[in-house]
Parts: sequence; structure tokens; C-alpha cells
Amino acid sequence: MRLKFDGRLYSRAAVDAAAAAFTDWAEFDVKEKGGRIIVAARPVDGPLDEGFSDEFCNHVLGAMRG
Amino acid sequence: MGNAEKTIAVQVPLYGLEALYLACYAFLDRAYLRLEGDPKACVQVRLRAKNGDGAALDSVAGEFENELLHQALRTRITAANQKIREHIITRALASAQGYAPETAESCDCGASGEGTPLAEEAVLDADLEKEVDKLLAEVEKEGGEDPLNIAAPWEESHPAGAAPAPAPAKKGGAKPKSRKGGKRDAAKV
Repeated sequence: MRLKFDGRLYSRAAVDAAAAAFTDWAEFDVKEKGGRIIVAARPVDGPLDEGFSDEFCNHVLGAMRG
Repeated sequence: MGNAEKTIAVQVPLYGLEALYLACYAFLDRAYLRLEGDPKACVQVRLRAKNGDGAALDSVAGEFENELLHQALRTRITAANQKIREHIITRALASAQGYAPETAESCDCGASGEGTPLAEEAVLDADLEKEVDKLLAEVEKEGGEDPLNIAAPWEESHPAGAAPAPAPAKKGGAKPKSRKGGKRDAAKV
């Protein structure tokens, strides 16, 4: 699963924080390219739930607060 | 989880990016949100309600727009009041530490000047001290009546092994004894 975040609206720190919070479900590879933050997620155990990406995106948005 | 999605275009110069983030935070528990676009011009907020159907999504979207307005106003008021808040806190901290608060003349906060020069404040403090001494002398002269035994230390009023204080009276039960005299004395002090 790949997710892309606009680097002008989301910070790398927030994406990293969200990735750290979801390590029980997936392994993450976070990269920055062309002003975008690209997250590649590999499930740890079984397929990821349908709402995984939505929850992850919300978590990133919430982490922007800090 | 509903699959219906709604996109709201937010003019950032109108509302401010801070207000947009604050509005998003307020809806994290009710909707899935994604932000896209130019933070200096227009940002698209993709909304999907966590629970409910299309009607719920319409409701969430409408409330989000209201929240956006609310947060925009809030951030403006916060910015407008920043100086005066800093001034109030500075004065409070200075007073707590025993320093004379800065005068309105030396303050650049733009607040209307209520402060007095330091010399005048010193005179006021001296007058206040005299007044406090006078009040204390009056209390001592009256004998310092203490019907509730408030002035006694805890160890004296509650010796070890003594029975615990009775529970407060229930509603509709016997009324506590009148403390008229004590109250009046306390008011004097």
C-alpha cells in the first residue's frame, strides 16, 4: 500500500509519528520526493484492513498538532 | 463505514491555514480527512464520514464549514489579544515574585494605561501596609474570637485516636447549628 502526502500540508515528523504508531500492523518505508512524502506500508500479519489508510491519514493529521 | 466522499475547497487566504488545521482536528473523530492543494491559495479537504450514509456526510460537511468559520474567528481574536494577554501574565508573574509591575508608559502593548509610576505605587503600598496593621490590631483587640476553632493547628483540634468528624447532614435532615455570630466576626476580619 502506498500513500502520498503533500509536503506543504503535512510534515515529515507527523508522518513518522503516525508510522511509529502503526508498527503493530505494518512496516513502513517513508521517503520524500518532489515535495511529496511517500509512505509504503507492508502488512506485518495478514492483509491490511479496508480503513487502514484512512485511519493512518487521520493520525498524520492529528500528529501535525504536535 | 460509508464510501461517500465530499470535497470542500477552502480559500486559505480567507480562513487561514491554522484555522483549517484546527477545524480538521475537531473532526478527526467523526470523519476521515485528507488535505490536498496549495496552502497559499486553495486547499481541498476530502471528507468521508466514519459512520452513516450520504445524509450524515452532508451534515458533517456543513458542520465542518461552520467549524472552519468558528476557528478562523478564534485565531483572529487570539492574534488580536496576544499583546494584552502577555501584558496581563507579565503583571501577574511580576506581582507574584514581588517585583513592581511595569508601568503603562514603558509598556508597548497598546493597552490603555492604568498603571502608576513606581514612586506612587510605593506610597500606595505603604498606605496599604498601614491599613493591614490597623486591621490586625483591631482583630487582636477584639480577642480574635474563633468559634469554629479554625486557628487551632490540626494536631490540636484532631488528636490522634480521636473519633472522625461527623458526616455532613443529609438533604432534608436536621439543619446545622446557626453560625451567625461566627460569620459576622469572620466578615469583620
